[in-house]
Amino acid sequence: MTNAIEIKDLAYKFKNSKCFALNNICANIKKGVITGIVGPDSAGKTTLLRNITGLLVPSSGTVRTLSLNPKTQKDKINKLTGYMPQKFGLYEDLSVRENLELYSKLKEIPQKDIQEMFKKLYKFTNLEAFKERLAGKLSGGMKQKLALACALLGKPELLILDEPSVGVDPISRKDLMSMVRALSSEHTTTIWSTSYMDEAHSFDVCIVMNKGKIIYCGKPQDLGNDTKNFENKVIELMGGYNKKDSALAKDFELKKYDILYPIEADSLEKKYGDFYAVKNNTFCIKKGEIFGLLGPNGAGKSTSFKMMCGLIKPSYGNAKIMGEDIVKNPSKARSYIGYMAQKFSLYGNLDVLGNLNFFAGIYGLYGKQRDEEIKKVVEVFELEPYLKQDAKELSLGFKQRLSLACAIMHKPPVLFLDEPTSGVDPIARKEFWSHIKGLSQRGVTTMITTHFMDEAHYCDRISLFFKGETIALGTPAELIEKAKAKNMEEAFSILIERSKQNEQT
Amino acid sequence: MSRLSALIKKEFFQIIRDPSSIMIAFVMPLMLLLIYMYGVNLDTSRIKLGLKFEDMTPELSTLMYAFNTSKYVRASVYENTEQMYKDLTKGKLNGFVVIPNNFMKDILRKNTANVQIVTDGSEVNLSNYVKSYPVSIIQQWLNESVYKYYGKKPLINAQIRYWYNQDINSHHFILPGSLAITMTLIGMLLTTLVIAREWERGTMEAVLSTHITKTDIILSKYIPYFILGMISMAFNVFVCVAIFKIPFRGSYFILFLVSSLFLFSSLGIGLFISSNFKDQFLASQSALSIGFLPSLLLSGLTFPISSMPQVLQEFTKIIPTRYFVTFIQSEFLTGTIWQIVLFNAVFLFVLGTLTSFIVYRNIKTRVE
Repeated sequence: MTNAIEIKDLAYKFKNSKCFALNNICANIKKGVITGIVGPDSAGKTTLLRNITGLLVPSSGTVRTLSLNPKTQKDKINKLTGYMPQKFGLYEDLSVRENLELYSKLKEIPQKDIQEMFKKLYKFTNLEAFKERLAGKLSGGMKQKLALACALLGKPELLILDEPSVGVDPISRKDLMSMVRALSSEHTTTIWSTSYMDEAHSFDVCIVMNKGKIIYCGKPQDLGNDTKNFENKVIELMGGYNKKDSALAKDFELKKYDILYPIEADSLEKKYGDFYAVKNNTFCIKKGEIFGLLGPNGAGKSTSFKMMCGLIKPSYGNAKIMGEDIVKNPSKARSYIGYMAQKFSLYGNLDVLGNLNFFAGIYGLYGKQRDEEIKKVVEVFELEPYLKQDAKELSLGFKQRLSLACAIMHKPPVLFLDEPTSGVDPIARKEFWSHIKGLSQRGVTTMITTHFMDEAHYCDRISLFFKGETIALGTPAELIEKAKAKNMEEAFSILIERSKQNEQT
Repeated sequence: MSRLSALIKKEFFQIIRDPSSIMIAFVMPLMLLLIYMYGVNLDTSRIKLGLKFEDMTPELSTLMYAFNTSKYVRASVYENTEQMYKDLTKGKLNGFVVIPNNFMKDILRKNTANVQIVTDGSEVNLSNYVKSYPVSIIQQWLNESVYKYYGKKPLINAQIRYWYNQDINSHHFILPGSLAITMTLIGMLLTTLVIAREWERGTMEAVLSTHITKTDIILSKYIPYFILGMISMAFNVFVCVAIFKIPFRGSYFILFLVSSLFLFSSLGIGLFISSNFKDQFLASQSALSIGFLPSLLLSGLTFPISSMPQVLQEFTKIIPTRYFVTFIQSEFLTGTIWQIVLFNAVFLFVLGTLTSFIVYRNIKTRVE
């Protein structure tokens, strides 16, 4: 038999939900290859994976996983699969070694094989040196490798990875991919859901999902010969993206000001004990510029961000927002900033309107002005149908729209966006960037972090961050040139590799 | 077996590394004990009593002396009745006694003499004392005075002794009872968090796709928290007996046995609550409102069960803390009484088995 998984007329409906999360899915997943599942957020990717493993039971239709029925033979399927859930499933207060030991016991790996297996996994993950570190204290990239290692224990026939690389830097993503390829044999079937188009393009087979349906199943290369074409094709399949000018930017009026550099950082430094999270960070951002901070997980990007908006006190150095000293006058300086945090930081239990009202209030809008601003963002971000819905129930794309809406309502001259697009589908990302571009033309100065290398091209200038220090600064073209690379992604890897070597010599 | 032991080991690591479970198991009970020891006192403190002598007969100075020297009241004599009323309103007095104009005259004529006692009824407990203390003070004064035989001799003379707690020290039964509350706290609060936490952090999803079985999950939650609870219990008993000097007249072995039955049943309730929630906040809120508060209010520790309405009395029968409070108070104060021990132990065992059965039915091995 060549099919690892056979799905026929599968439908799934959540309790208390009107529409189907999965709607008449038919698919066969071949044995021994890597199958990618791509699709916008809330397309039903996770639900499909859970139906395959038996964590959910189909409302109708059938699933055969490795010729077994997940409904009745979940125990047997469990013994043959390695599953890495979206949240990784690591015990944060257990060390790397303890996590591996726990999962190896849970998977009943014979005692005699354990040491050898650990050795191999440590080698591949480069986690040997961090064996005794608590999983909660690892960087995002390391957590992801550890979670994969746990899933790979016991040489599973079926490996299921649910968006393993959300919020992870390009280098770690590459490592992960090579780990999966190296550790799986021709007997391993891998299913990998992702929102990264470059990843999806590199798989053997790719399933594109949208709104609970499969809209494409086949070789990704047949859709487009490179990532760019592939992405465009996928977007087209999903209903297409109409490039239009940002309605948000259209009537966004900033108060006039004549400050050449709205954001200035002067030798910022943050030290935790002997460890420099950020070291000697100096830069100026011109009015209306989009300034990207790029770098691997744990490079100190978020720490820099938090210092710049006065959430963390710098150990040394200073920053100015619109000429206002962030250390001396934090609240005054902060009033110029619109901030979108890395994690969804709105109130999940408040409805959309409640969140808008609340944030308008804390940014000092009230009365008629508040109502007008709220009306405007609701219109621009098309939030009208969701006003009464709790924010936690929104899809990721809409959460991100709402976050942006809350951050810009008070018309800040400066925007701080910390990984605003992680895990968001390509259409929503394009839309997001059209707003940022438009705002920048209106004179809003933006500082942004991202792990999407294609997004780096939207930035006017980029600062490449590694181990708390800026290792390169310039326009995207300059950086590519400096690294003598083909594209941004390669430039990223090369520059970081170079910096690592410099350190060693 | 190796799966289970790995899970238990994991649970212990989590307990040790998470300061909040240590807080719940050791620091919070200690605080509760301190509050019950030094804060809560059901015994009579000296009540503040106003005195107004309208009858100024010189013989009554001995009565005034009796009031002033009583160790149960702090009396202040008023000239001005208005002032006394005001002080009662302000809360400076808990009540007052008025000796009317012809009090002495009535006694001398062998008539019934009247005394007026007014108490602040807003504090029911206290007003009971205000009612009875002046009466007994006056009675005692009368018995020692020359007017003793003016009235009829009393036909009955009650001789009162307080057995099992000679000093009527309420700490002797409140503190053991509070141990029951502490144990409820550990059993319910700690365990409600642990399953919900696994859902919240996504570890449950990962674990559920390994070789794990239902029994593994349940036992890996019961066993570690049972051990933690028993250690905490030992610690609390030690604090009560060795530090607060609460007399213990029972058997430590029986105490250990019944405590473990109690823990078994309250862990069951905690896990039952936990298995219904995937959110730690909701789980802990429901643990407080459907687990802890009923235990505190309806276990008979703070309010006697016999004075509750019939419906609530029936309801208390499914609260394990009720049986444990009864048992532990009698075990401390009177020693092992087999009837009490067996009755409560059987009920705890039944409740424990019942809840663990429900937990087993309720634990999910799928995401939904």
